[in-house]
Amino acid sequence: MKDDLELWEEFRLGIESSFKSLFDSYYQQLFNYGHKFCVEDEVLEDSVQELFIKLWKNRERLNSTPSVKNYLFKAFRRVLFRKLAEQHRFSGIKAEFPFEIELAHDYTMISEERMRSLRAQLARALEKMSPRQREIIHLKFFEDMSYEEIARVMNLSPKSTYKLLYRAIDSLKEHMSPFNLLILLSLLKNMSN
Amino acid sequence: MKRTPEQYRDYKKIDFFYDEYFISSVREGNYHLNIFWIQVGEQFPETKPYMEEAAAWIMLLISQPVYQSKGREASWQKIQSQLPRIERRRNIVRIFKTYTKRAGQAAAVIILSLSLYDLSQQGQKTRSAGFGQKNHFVLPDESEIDLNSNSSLRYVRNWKSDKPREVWLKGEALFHVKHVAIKNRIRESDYFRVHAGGVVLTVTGTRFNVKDRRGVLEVALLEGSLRVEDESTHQVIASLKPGQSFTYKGAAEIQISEENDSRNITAWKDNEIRLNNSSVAAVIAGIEDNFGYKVVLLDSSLLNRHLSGTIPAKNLEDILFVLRQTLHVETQITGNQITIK
Repeated sequence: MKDDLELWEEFRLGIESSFKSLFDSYYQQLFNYGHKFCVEDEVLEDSVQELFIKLWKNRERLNSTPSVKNYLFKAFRRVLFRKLAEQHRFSGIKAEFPFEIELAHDYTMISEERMRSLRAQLARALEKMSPRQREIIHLKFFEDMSYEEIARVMNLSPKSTYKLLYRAIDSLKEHMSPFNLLILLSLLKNMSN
Repeated sequence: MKRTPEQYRDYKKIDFFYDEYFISSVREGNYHLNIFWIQVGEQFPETKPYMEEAAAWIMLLISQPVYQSKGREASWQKIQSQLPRIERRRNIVRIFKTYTKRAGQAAAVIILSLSLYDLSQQGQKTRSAGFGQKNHFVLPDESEIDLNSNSSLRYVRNWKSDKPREVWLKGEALFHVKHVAIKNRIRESDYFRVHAGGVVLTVTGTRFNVKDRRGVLEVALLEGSLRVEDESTHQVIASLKPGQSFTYKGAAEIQISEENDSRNITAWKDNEIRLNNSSVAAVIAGIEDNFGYKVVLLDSSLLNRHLSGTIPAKNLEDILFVLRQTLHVETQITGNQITIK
């Protein structure tokens, strides 16, 4: 199995099968990422297609990249934002591009009630964040990106990326469980073990 | 720095949530089984609920449901259907780019040559002929010039103005000046002027030969009329009629003679030397002037011998052959010198 970088190099040489492999491995990821900004499948489909057609068209001008995923996310985000900006112009809305995180529904390592409570906490905290803060949280945890990678995708400096994430984390503090409750829960859990 | 459980003594939920090592442990699966976090939990039991909640949050984020699209194949087919069109256009663009690049280079060369040409036309231009060579060319006004060996003609290309056409000659040249004046209305710009040997020759449309060698200027008019002026005083020295020759060695020595056979004057152009009772000295001077050799005559009495006839003079050997035959001498070329003995 060829890795992404090999596929990327082959794609740049014009090998269509490698291009298809890249498309196959990233289609779902990009679609999922895009879905956080926009719930209209059609827009997302168009964006992915536009991205890949552009890539093929400009393949000789593309550089080799240390991270294919990073490159594609960044490029996809740019294409999608342009599409969303067009939509906004038509509808006259001048809003920040939204970003919605959908938390996991079931996570069975802890009790269902506790899970529900923690989930609600986190959801509330995320709701209070700005869309860009949510996006950072998503890229950091879900996409497992480094600060540098997040900075590249979001077109920010690493410093402001760090700041944005720090403020996001800070805002989470406000939504933590009361200390006593945590102790109590912990004791209960230890006893039940 | 070595990671120790002590570092995590005062960690709260948010600190674990934010800790890279903790995140990666949770991401890898079950942090409960990670020996390091077990140690942290055993040494500082109060961190255990924090770890648990932080892990839950992290898991909630990591395990977000993936939004599924069933359109992947359809999407790919749409992309794939576009690829041939893109390829075609890419090729066209590539060809176009190569073409424009080449065209650009060609254009640059053309523009450069045009501007150089312009520049050369604006400024002075010199045409010349080396030793043993001749140069025939046409001036911008379509006057024709035959330049003899070891000669040069300089001119200024601003003849479009109302100034007369002017040239400066060194050596020998046969001029065939184009008559540009409208009948009976001669303007300054209709004159053609040759600067040579301290005089200015002014003509309209004529044929004439000018020879400026060894401080002696010889002008022979073949057709039309020609006026000779002193270059510094602008005084008219002579006015020639066709068939007349004018010799000038400074203001003190002016001579006008008749030359009946114009072919004697233009012979050099046809690679001939016409000798009409000419001295050997004149022939030797011609060799020196036109071929650039120094001629040493061991028997100086030969200088006063006179020769008649036509010598083919396409190259030096032709002339030397004739000299050997007529004077019964030997010739020897050593480097830049011809010895006649």
